[in-house]
Amino acid sequence: MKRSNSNLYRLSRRNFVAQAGQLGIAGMLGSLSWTARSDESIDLPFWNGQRELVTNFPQKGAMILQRTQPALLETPFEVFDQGVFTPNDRFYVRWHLPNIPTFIDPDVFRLKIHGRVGKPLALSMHDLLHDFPRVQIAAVNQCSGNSRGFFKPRVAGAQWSNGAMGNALWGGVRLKDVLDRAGVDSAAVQVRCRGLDSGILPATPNFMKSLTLDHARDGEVMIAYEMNGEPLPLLNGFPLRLVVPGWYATYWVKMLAEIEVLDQPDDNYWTAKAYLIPDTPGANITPVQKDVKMVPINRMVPRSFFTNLKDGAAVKRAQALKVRGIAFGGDTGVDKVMVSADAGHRWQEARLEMDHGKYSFRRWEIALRLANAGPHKLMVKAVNNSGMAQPDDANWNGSGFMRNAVESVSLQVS
Amino acid sequence: MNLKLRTFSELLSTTIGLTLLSSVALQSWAQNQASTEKADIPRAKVGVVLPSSATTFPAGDGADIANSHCLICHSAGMVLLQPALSESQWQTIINKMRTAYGAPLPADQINALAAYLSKIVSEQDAPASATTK
Repeated sequence: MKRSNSNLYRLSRRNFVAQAGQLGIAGMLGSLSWTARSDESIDLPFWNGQRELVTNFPQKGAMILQRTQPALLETPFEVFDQGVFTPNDRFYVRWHLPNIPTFIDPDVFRLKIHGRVGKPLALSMHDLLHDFPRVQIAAVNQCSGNSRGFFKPRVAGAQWSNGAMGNALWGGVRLKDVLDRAGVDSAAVQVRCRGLDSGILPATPNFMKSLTLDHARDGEVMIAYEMNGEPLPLLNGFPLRLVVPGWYATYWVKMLAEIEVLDQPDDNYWTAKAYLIPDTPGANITPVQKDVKMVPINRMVPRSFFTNLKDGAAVKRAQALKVRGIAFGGDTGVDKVMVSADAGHRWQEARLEMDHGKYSFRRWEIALRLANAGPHKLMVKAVNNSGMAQPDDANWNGSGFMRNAVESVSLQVS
Repeated sequence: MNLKLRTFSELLSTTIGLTLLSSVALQSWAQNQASTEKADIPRAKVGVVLPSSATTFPAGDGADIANSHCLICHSAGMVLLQPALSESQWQTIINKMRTAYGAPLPADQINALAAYLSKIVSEQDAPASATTK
């Protein structure tokens, strides 16, 4: 009756060993133990928020375990205080489908480009590395449902705190250059990207996401083979991942293996039915609102966070308090970051640190002096270069997407 | 370069006991390549072992349905970490699993499974155990 995943797993491990022998792969990166667990746990600040901190995922350090299979791993928030780029071994992980290849030989791997093109291509890693200009872009990758655990009323889905995001320097080739090499037909309208992950059940749809042709050819959308100067960790999409700067991570297809140029709008499940948001400002509706027009999630919105202050921390009165954090503008750069020490009555502008590009995290800092004893509510709000500010009140929708309300921490001053 | 890797691998893969040693060796080989030939680093082979979960659903009416159907595609962790949801909310989720992902759950078991899930993740009780996923 019971069909435990450990059985499935042992099967796949045997396959791995057999495959490894045939292919002559001798090395296994990451943990050799598949039962190792950390004793540590962390309490995320919402009901049923206790999570394990685990270190047993390959090429990953300590991560917050949201689900083992398919892996959902959250970045512990203190990592964001350590620098503007999120280390690869702490970068969050989100997979939809259970069959994730565990062995990749880049010498055998091919990226296929087909559909409405003049010349279908099967590009090797060598081709991508040597036949196209190499480009780099710093960009935030954020799950559509980052911070879902804070929705009120709560909604179903992965119960992330704020760590389903990360910022990396991505290196690779422009999708535009690859499409141009294949020669896109004049009838083409969309570009559909598919990864190597798949379902166990035959009826489970393969993970595919589509972009409009214009978006795919904007010169910013990238096929990345590097993440912070290294190959991507397997769980972040090795050997190739689509990078869609300024857009939610659902479009950043991992283990990208196939690009199909379509002459009709994509009607596959993941593009047409999953990841839809209300077509309202901030994807915001009320829990009782019905018959709302839904559209595919798309551009990110601005956010900012405190990274060196924990909610409920005790601080000394009248002492210089260095407050710092990160911000990002969503689909454009950060114009300014405002901090309030009095629950939003008065706002001061924080100093922005080095600009790594408009799609990157931006570190900010401000020195405060809290004169009065008692509780203080500190708030932070980013405004992006389009003039969009984080809303004071959180949005709500049934999928728990696009949360970006002003963040706050309460301090006890004595 | 490929010849070098093949020879190296074949030599080591003859003995299973040398797997750990070869892991260290392959990583250091990859690192050497990284320093001298940065543009080629994504060409190193990668093999990993992904952790599994042995967690099953807690005892109760409906646990056998959950264990025999939900665990086909995903481990139990994320289910047990949901907020308290009503039976009707769980029915919506179960129907999505059936229609969108092809879960082979008979229609006449939807209500029983929804009732079970709403009971095990309930604010009336202590939060579902988060110690195993």
